[in-house]
Amino acid sequence: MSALKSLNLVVLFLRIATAAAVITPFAVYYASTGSLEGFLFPKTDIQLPNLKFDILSYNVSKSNNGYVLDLKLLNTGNVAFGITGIEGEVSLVNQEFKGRFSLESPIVLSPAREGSIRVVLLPVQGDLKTLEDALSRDEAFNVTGRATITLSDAELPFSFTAVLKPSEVGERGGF
Amino acid sequence: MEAFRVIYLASGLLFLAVALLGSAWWELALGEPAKPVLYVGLSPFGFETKLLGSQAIGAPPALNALFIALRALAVLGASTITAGALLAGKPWSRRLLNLRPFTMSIGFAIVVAAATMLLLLNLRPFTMSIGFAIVVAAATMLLPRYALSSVPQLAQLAPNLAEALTPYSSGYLRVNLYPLTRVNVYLDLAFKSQLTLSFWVALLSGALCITGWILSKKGAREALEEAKPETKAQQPSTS
Repeated sequence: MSALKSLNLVVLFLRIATAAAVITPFAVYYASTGSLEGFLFPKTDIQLPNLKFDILSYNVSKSNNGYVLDLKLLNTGNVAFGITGIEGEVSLVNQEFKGRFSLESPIVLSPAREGSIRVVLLPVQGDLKTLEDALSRDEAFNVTGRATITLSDAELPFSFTAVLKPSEVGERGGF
Repeated sequence: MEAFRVIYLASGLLFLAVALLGSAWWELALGEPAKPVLYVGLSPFGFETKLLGSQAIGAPPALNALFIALRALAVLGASTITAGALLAGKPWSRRLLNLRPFTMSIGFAIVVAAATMLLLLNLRPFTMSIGFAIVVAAATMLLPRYALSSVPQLAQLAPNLAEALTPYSSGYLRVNLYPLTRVNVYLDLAFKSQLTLSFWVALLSGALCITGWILSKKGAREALEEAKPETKAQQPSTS
């Protein structure tokens, strides 16, 4: 076979292989769906996880130099939900008070299960009386910090910033 | 073996490995990278989304066909480069050498850069109209229709979404919970968006490929120039 014939054969082979590589997948997928609409815009159902929990009760008690917040949670969603870490700062918007809080024990709740978390708040600047008075007057307070939540097997670390009032926290009762 | 063939061979083998592995070239992870809440992976060969470890959105058949076609073309291109580099004695071996590793990796980089620029400049009317057309086309293909109704609220909910999607913008995605909770709460979620090792290997393969092409053209030109004086020198004796 002459060099020219070999060259033409190689060029022909490359063109056929390239065309087959492009056409075959489109033909197979189109044939399997059976319609242009199904091929381009198929109907898809997404199974989004339902993340929901209720705050069943909360209790704030004094302990040593600070406060202990006990939160009883119920997982009303369909994925396991947990809190594996919380730490941050609380400060009053209009008063001199700053405190640090941290999670005492991590918690992971399966769907329809309930459990408690304990968060300890210790004053850093100012006294607890100032905080108590301000909260009783429904004054706003800043909360900033970091937390890690678990959703099923996934972990989501995040930081948060919030300006809240006791009335807003109390009336919500969940998210 | 000529230098350009060695370079083409390295390029072909690298691109063949990348095409056969088929892993993501760009990826986004929301949450802890080892255990992400949301994972999105994209390459010319596939698209993958995982929410809490399970597949959230499947690409439509048209896109799957496109990804398979691109993968087949990449494997074919890389295989022919490898064969062309090895079969130095054959007169047709040069026809097997091609620039597919270069065009595919640069093409992907251009698409990612263009998408990023459109996201970052989306306030300008021109880019917004072009960007909107592209986003709507892509979203129609990739997202279920009901999800589109929530797009206008997305900017309010995640004000830095565009910046967070930029490759190597690893940091935090700010989520404003006010529209959902009516309480001033901001969450900064751990977020990572990056071009992966597979992309950089593909880009290296493309760079080698274009180097091989330049060397090959240079060699051919030099051979032609060397042949010219010989032809001229032979002409008096033949006449």
